[in-house]
Amino acid sequence: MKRVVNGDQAALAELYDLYADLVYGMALRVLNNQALAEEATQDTFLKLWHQASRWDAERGKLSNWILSIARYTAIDRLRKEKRQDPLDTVEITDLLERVGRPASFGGRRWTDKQLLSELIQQLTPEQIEVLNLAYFGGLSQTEMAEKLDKPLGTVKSRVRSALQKLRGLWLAATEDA
Amino acid sequence: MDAPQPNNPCEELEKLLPAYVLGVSTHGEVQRVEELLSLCPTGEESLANYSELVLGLGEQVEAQPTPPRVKSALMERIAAEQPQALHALKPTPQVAERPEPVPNTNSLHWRYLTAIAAILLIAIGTNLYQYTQLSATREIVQELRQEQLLTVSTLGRANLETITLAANDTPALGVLLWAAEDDQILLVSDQLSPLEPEQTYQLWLIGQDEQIESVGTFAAESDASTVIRFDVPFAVSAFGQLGISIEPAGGSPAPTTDPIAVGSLG
Repeated sequence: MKRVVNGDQAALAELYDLYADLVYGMALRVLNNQALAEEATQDTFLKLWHQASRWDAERGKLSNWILSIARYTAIDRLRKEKRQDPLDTVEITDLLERVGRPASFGGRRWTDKQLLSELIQQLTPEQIEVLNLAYFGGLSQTEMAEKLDKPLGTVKSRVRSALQKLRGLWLAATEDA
Repeated sequence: MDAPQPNNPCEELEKLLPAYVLGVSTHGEVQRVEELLSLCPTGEESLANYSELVLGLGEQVEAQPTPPRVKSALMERIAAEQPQALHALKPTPQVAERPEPVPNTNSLHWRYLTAIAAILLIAIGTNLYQYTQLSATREIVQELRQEQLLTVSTLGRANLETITLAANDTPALGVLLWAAEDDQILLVSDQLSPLEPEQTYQLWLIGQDEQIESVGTFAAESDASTVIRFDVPFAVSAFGQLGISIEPAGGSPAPTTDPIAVGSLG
């Protein structure tokens, strides 16, 4: 990353080779369109190129930071395509910068991919649905309510209970370990 | 309607944080979370937990093979930006240390270079001309804007006196608005016609003892009301009348024709 910060194009190319497939996977999941996903992938690495100095190795994994940029870039693109206003959001990596350190429970991190995947399957289909719409669909809670034809309060409650339950499941899993 | 918010800031924060970290909160909710984070002692810990959880959601995404064209397009975009960045970051290469190339005037390469240089010169010249024109236009616009402000300022005076301008047996040609406190005069007319290029309208102050002083020359617009502001260098109240005559272009020291309209002060 230091080489990227210093404007080394070869270093960016190496970084691209390492993470492009992940970024493209994220963009494709959000946009569900190959051409748009390709553009979002380029835009993600362009942002990374311009903002490389913001990266802080002590605040977490590089892949998380890049995926976070990829997600916001893809959602931004998706909302522009749908002529929706941008969401009033705070980037997750900015939140981690604010908190100052990555969180962990019992020595295990949320980003234990396999465990988290198993825990997600323990949520109700409705909770998984709103998580997907929020995280990959880039929909506000009001937009989710319209899409699902449910009251806004119901959607808010589902979003809240989904993440709270996931956190609870994680805590139980790490305590048992 | 949402349920009433709990009084405990940590309870309220716990309710709002999931949507906040997912980026689906409303603007008001985002602001409220920011407030609550400073009120709840365990708020930052919860925020860190949820943030990590959301990062974990990102890792659930399966990698997909990226088409090779994406990388080449990206690197082209970056290379296109690079000259500017290099210009800003790196010192100018020491060209003088290199041997001077001997141009081969017959080579296609040299012809291209000559053509590009000529195009660049033309482009620079055109841009310079356009810049000069733009600057002149900008100055005119600024002058007009300044004049407009002064006109509005004059119109805003508390004690404006209205003087009707008319010739004998004809309808009013226009009015003069006189601000006595600083001797500003506004001429407003939609009856004046544009004159020939060698002519001009001239406004005069006429005293009791036949003293006549020029206030200034002006032109009339063909498609709009004429509104002209005069900053009079005399005490207008010392004169009894104002008149307009048609004079040779550039104006005259004294009227050379009969006035086309006259108005009385006071």
